[in-house]
Amino acid sequence: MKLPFLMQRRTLAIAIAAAGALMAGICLEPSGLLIAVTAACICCGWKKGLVAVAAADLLAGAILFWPASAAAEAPVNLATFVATSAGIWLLVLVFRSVRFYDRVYEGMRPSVADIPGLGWFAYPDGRLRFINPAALSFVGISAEEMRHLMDLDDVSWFAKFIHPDDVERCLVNWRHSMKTGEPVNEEARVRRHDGTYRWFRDTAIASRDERGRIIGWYGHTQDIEDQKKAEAALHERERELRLLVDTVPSLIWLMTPEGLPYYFNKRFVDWAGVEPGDAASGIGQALATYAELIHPDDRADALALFHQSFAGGEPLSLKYRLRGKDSWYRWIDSRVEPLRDETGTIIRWYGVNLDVEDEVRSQEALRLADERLSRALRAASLSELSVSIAHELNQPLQAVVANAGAFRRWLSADPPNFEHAGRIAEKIIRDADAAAQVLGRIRALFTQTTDHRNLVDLNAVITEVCELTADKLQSSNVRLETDLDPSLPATRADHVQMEQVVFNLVRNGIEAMQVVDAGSRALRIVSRCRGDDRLEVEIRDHGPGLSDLEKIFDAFYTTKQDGMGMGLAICRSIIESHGGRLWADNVDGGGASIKFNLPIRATEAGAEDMKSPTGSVRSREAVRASPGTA
Amino acid sequence: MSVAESRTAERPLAMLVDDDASVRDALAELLNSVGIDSITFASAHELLEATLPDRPGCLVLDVRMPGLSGIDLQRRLASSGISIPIVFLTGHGDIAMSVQAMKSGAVDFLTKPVRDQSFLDAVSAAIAADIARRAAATVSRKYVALYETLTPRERQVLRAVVAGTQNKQIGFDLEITEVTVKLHRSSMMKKMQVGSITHLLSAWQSLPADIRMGDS
Repeated sequence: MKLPFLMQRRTLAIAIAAAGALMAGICLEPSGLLIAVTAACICCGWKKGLVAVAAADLLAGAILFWPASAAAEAPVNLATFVATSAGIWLLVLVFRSVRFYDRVYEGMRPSVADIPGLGWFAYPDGRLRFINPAALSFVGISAEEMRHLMDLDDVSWFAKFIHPDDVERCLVNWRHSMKTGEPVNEEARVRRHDGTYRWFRDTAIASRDERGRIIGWYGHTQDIEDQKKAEAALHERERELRLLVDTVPSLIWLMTPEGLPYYFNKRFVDWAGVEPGDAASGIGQALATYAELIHPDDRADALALFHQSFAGGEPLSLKYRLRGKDSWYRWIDSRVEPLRDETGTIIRWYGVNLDVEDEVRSQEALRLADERLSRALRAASLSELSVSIAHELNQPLQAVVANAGAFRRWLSADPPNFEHAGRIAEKIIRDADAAAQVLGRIRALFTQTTDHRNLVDLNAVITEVCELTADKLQSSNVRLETDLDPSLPATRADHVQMEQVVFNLVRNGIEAMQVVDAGSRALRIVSRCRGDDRLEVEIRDHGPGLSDLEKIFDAFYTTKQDGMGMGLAICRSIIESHGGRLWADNVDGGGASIKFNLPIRATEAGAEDMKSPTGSVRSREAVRASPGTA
Repeated sequence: MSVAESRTAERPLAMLVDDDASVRDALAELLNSVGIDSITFASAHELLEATLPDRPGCLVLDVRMPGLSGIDLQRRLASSGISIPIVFLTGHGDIAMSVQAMKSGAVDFLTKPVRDQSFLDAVSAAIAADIARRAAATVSRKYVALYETLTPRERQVLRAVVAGTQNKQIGFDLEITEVTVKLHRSSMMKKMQVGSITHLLSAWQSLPADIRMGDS
């Protein structure tokens, strides 16, 4: 009989109690009260039960000692009644709570069969007690087979479902848990009914009674195959990334947002012989180590740039020498980039060092080769120049010697021929003068020291030359046009040489036009600025033009009847020694245009190329990446 | 041909080629002072275009000249069969160039500035060589003309005689009698205008190589 409602139970209890009390009153027999006491104890708790016991005892006393029926054994009966009622009270007190607990949990305790997923239940000694239907169908055994497993007196009942490689480990853990009562938590491959294994996590806890004794093991087995696969894939990717980082032929290092190195890749470790270094092993130590690796000459500058970069959060690219494991310093190209989170805060710095020693070396070798080549070229042009000087000097000298011989012979003739001798003496003087002029020109050519370079106004030079050649222009019927830029800045140059160049070009122009009709002979001289740093002078004639625009600058090349082919070669060497350029063009519609340009220099600075042989860190600053590349 | 003209024709003439007018002029003056006539050219081309007088003399060439160089001119002349002696003048001593020039038959290779006496010596030597060359050429021309008058048989005998062959042997070789050989031989000696074997040999030597080597 089940009375699920409290009211029904109470009503029934009161009815029974009332029936007992009534029977006791009618029969004058107190034992009927005991049922009422019991009902009160059960239904109303032990305090009210105690009151009921006391009331029943008093009532029993009244009945037993009722004068009409008082018996001699009444005291003994009362004592028995009191003892019995107290016994009932005590009994209910002790068992009432347990029964209640059992009643509450009886309906609520879930069945192992209802556990979602795969579940099982084992006896405290590890033997199988139950496997839920989901688990049964997963491993593919029938209930009959399960019963057979249950009958096995063995803790290793699960072995046949576990991957052979995992069985040993699982058994050890299982036995350990049974001995200590610790929960089971392990991962193992479980065989599915089709024979494939999947990864499962097995968790089981001991179920204990109120006294703490293990009454069984409840286990839950969860499929973690996908998780496991994802984990494995993640591991694989991580491994590959690490492999990549370690294999990439660069030295890779990581730094904290403050710029303290905390990781070096394997190559870096192998290259520099540093400790792999992780976050745990003293960050300051790692930085000190890194700074020590930098060549002492580059260290201060490089660290300053690093600190500047870390402070400003800007990427950095610079070159310096870093010490390798073998204690040799090698040039490296070091790049550092910050990694930022979505809020723009720097999380860490990535550093990549590329060994550019070979590159730097080959550049150096190239530069040296270049230098040797230009030296050789200078030597070659010097020897060429000496040949032409010899030629230029030999001509007048030869004339002097020959004329002097003739002079002497006419004088020593019998009779002396003074008329002839006098005429030849004139020639000797003329030739000696020519030799002196050649010497003067050579001296001018070789005194190209910067000491003679002053601020020169090329417009003034052009004007002077035009004045000097005015006679020749007039006698050659050449019309002169000038278009000089009044804002042409002065530049540092050798005034005499500039005059020499302009003079040569003007004379060439005049001579080139001797073959054309006198009416069209016009020479045009233009000066202008080219950009901010160059000025240009153009001398254009209306002659027949040039057949070879480069060869005319070769020594000994001439198109003139009496030229030696030195003028333009010398002009070019003068302009080039001033850092400029001299070239020729043919003009559409006839004529040649010779142009030269010169750098605009107000001071000596900049006269020399800023070319240091090895290039210090400081000069590398120019290669710093702009913040925009971040 | 008048006596005066004939004397001028025999007087040596130096031909100067130099691009520098003052040098040309001065060298001409120097030669003039020792009585050597000279004509000057400003370039090799000018010389090639001119008609050269048939007089003993020499060429004085500057090596380095704009346009055709002295060495180029020497080559050009040699290829057109003109074998006039050449004196080279150069601004700088270029050994390779001078070796080449001398191999090609230059008389001298002088470095500017050359001493007046050295120059005159070189020119004189060149002129002397040219006179000798011209004389040899005259003799050769004369004997070639005489050789042309010989009959084929006489030419055969001439070859045999200068080779030192005895008359008897010549007769045997040519399958004629010794008497006939003697007749051809005396006729040949007469035609060649020589009186002795020695004279005949020198006349033979002056003949051009193609005649001497040519088949009989």
